[in-house]
Amino acid sequence: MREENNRRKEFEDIAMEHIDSLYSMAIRLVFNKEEAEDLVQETYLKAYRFFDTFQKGTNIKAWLFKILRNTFINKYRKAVNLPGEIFYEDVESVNSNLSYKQESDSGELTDTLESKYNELGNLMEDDVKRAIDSLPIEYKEAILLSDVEELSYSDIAEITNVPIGTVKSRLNRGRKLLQKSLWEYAKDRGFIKRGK
Amino acid sequence: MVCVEAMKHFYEFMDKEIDKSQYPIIKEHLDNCFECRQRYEFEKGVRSLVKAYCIGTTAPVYLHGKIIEGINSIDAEIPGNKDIQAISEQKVTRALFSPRFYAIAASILLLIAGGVFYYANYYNYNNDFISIVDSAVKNHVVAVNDNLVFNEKTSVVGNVNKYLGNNINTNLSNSSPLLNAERVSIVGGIPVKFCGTSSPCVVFDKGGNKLSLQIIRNNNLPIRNLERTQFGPKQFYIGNCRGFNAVIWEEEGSTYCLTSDIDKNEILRFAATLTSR
Repeated sequence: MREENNRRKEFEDIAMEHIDSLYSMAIRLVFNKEEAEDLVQETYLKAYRFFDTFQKGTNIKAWLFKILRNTFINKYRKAVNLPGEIFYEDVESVNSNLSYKQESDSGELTDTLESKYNELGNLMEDDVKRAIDSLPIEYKEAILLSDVEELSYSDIAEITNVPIGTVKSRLNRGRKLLQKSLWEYAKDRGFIKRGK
Repeated sequence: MVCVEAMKHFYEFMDKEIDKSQYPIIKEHLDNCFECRQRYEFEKGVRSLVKAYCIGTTAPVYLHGKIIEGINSIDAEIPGNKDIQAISEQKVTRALFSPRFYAIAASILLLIAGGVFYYANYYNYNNDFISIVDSAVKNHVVAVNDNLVFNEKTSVVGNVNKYLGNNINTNLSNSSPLLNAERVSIVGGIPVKFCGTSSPCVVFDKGGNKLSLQIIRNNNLPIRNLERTQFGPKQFYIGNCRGFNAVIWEEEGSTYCLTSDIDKNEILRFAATLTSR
């Protein structure tokens, strides 16, 4: 029995502190408070049942995220396989470089990088939410795990069950999409502000 | 280093995933290249917006308590590693069969179960108090679910009567003979529609829920063993079976049984409206 208590205490000590992170991810997956709560609760109960299988010393947060993700997939049976993933990396870096150049060459003041950065200040919370939520799910999860949870590429690869190369390319694609939509929202806000 | 090259490792640099030997090279480029520096700042701005937004989303306070409660009930279970076996088995089977396979298998099983359920109805059960409710529920399910388009709009009294008379009633002669709806007087003015006058006869309450009413003529049934409730001036007996509730009452020498999957209190209230004073 004492062994049980120790197990319980250890679980509560190291796992429960991640509840906000898990919830924040859950709500970006299911878009609904009640379902997100259920998802997080299910994740924790599953994690507790299988706490013996957790490898001590590894990242518990990553382990919890993996359970959350599997629970989500099992529950919603969403097709998580990307339709024909392409490794853009090299091509894209060159292209994006070109597009930045074109933007700055276009002579339009609003399109320079500096103003781009400044425009971000116009963004409202809702814009950020909209931009994140509209991302394809594979990109979204990679970005949240990396940018918000600050997990390593190898942890993300482990959670999402794909090679590190795929994680990198998802982050690449996803971040570009995110930047693009945020920038567009910011521009809209900027116009509204200037119009006043 | 040219911008294109630096940009190639840009994200890895920002994610602190870049090779240690590469780090100072990129860093130096960013320090010296105005355009790349701006790109870096922009990306940083985007990230901090995303992060700020997501960190602002916190779990509701009660969720923590709910989880602890759940953990308590896990602790209360018999300890053992059954679960671990279960999960490893699950993993294997999941790899072997696709979800579609499970869906098909489940539908076939359901079909078989449905068939068994239906034909079980033809067998005579001992007239103990459980079997009253049990056969009432079976009759109800057959009457209601066998004909899924059975609703107020599509059912015509005459047809339902024919359907019930030919398919249900003939096999239930022991427990539920013909129901004479004339004998059930409705009080309370609830808009109730009787469809068919055979037993079981299907009734709709105002919420559109389907209830079935049967007459049990065998007076020796030990209904008094069921849970007894007083509702208004009348006494009712309540039974529950497979998620269905049955309310049984006696009136002028006949035993009536109302069955439905609606709430116990609801069905009781409804039964009360069917009884005469």
